[in-house]
Amino acid sequence: MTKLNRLGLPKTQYSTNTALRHAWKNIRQRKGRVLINGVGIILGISFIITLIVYSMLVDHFDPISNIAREQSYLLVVGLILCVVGVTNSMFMEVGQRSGEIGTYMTLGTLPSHVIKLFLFESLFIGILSGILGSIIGVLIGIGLTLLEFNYESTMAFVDTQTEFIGLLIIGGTVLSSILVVLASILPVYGASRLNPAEALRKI
Amino acid sequence: MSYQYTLKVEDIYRTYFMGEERVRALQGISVQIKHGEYVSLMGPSGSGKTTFFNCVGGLDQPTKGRVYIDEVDIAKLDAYELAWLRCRKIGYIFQTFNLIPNLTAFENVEMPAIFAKKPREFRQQKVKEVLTLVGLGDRMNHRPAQLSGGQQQRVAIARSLVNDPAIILADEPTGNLDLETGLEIITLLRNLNSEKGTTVLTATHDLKMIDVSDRIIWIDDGKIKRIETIHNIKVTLAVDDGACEDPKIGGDQ
Ligand SMILES: Nc1ncnc2c1ncn2[C@@H]1O[C@H](COP(=O)(O)OP(=O)(O)OP(=O)(O)O)[C@@H](O)[C@H]1O
Ligand SMILES: [Mg+2]
Repeated sequence: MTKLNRLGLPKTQYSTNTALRHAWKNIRQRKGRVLINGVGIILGISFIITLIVYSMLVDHFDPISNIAREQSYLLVVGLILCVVGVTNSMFMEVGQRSGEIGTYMTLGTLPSHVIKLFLFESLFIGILSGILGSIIGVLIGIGLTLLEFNYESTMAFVDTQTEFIGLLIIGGTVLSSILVVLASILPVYGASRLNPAEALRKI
Repeated sequence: MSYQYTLKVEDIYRTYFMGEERVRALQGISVQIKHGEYVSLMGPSGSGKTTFFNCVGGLDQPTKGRVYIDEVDIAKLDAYELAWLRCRKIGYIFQTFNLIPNLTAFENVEMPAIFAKKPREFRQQKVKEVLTLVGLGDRMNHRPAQLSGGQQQRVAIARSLVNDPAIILADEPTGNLDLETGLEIITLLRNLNSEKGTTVLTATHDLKMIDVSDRIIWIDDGKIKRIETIHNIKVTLAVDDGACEDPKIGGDQ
């Protein structure tokens, strides 16, 4: 930093706005990749939400079953699988795009800029997967209950719970975003540290 | 402002260590390139051209030796300054074009100007200007996949120009192009060099580069074999088709 002043060179810049815009473009134009990266988290989140909705409904009709407590360890397993899956697919993603990362570096990005761009992409993947996963989870949870209990009474109870279900979807989305971003930190940090010459060789 | 030497390379070595094995990719190369020159680096595959470019362009550190761009010793720069140097002082062109696939031609060219903190209106105008200069004024909203190889390379050239760099480093810019398109790209680079005064250093094993160069540096096995200027090149070629007669090593440094 002191050297910076000595030479009087300004830092290169990548504003949050621009990075967000680029991240969103990358997401929109790589839907297939996004789905692959997101599929683990979609499954994980829908699994978790299914468990919550299902146990809530079963507990309502059959309070002695105590299903909620019995299934809580499954939630933890679900979460861990999510994070491992996303970390794995982010490592692949970053490996595939190392040439692109090298190119960014030749244009003047700092490692922190690369991190910014990729974490924003992860954030978008997390949000989209979270919404999708939560909705799927709610539907499956209700569906499973319908297999065991009467349609009218189930739906009547679901109707009284719309607010809770809404909160579940929001919660699932937030959780998903946090998990995807967390799972991406290691791969993205690694990518940002690449020597540009090395990164470029992988094109 | 222009300095006497846009690029000064002093005795650089680059050795790759791969376990026990050592690959001596560069073995003591010194080159001085003046502002406005067009210099070609010729050499067979594996002779060290890309390694040389990476060291000179601040993408890799030489094992030994110094590189000065506009009289700044790039080994002394920290990460921020190096990013600034890559952004403002050097334009890179690659064999593989290296455009960002999800961005349009316009956005690709705009990228270095964004990093350089150029204001939006300035960017709009400058990007249009350089894209028009390379003949793509009507393709600004196309993505790389929607452009031909030659057009993609033109976008890359426009991108390399957008911050008015001190030097353009083009590593085999025609390597992925057919003969005719390659010639167009070379001619474009040469015209930019003579009209805008941009210093160009290009690597190739493509003999059609010869005609347009002010100087040709022949390297092999990480060493300079000889340096020829445009004036003596024709003679040499006539004598031995470019082998090793009439060497003018270190010619006019
Ligand atoms: N990252 C690396 N690790 C180990 N060896 C390397 C590495 N990069 C290059 N080399 C070796 O250094 C030598 C020079 O390679 P370089 O890529 O600079 O050649 P080049 O002249 O650009 O060749 P081409 O015309 O095929 O692109 C080669 O022997 C190559 O195998
Ligand atoms: Mg090469």
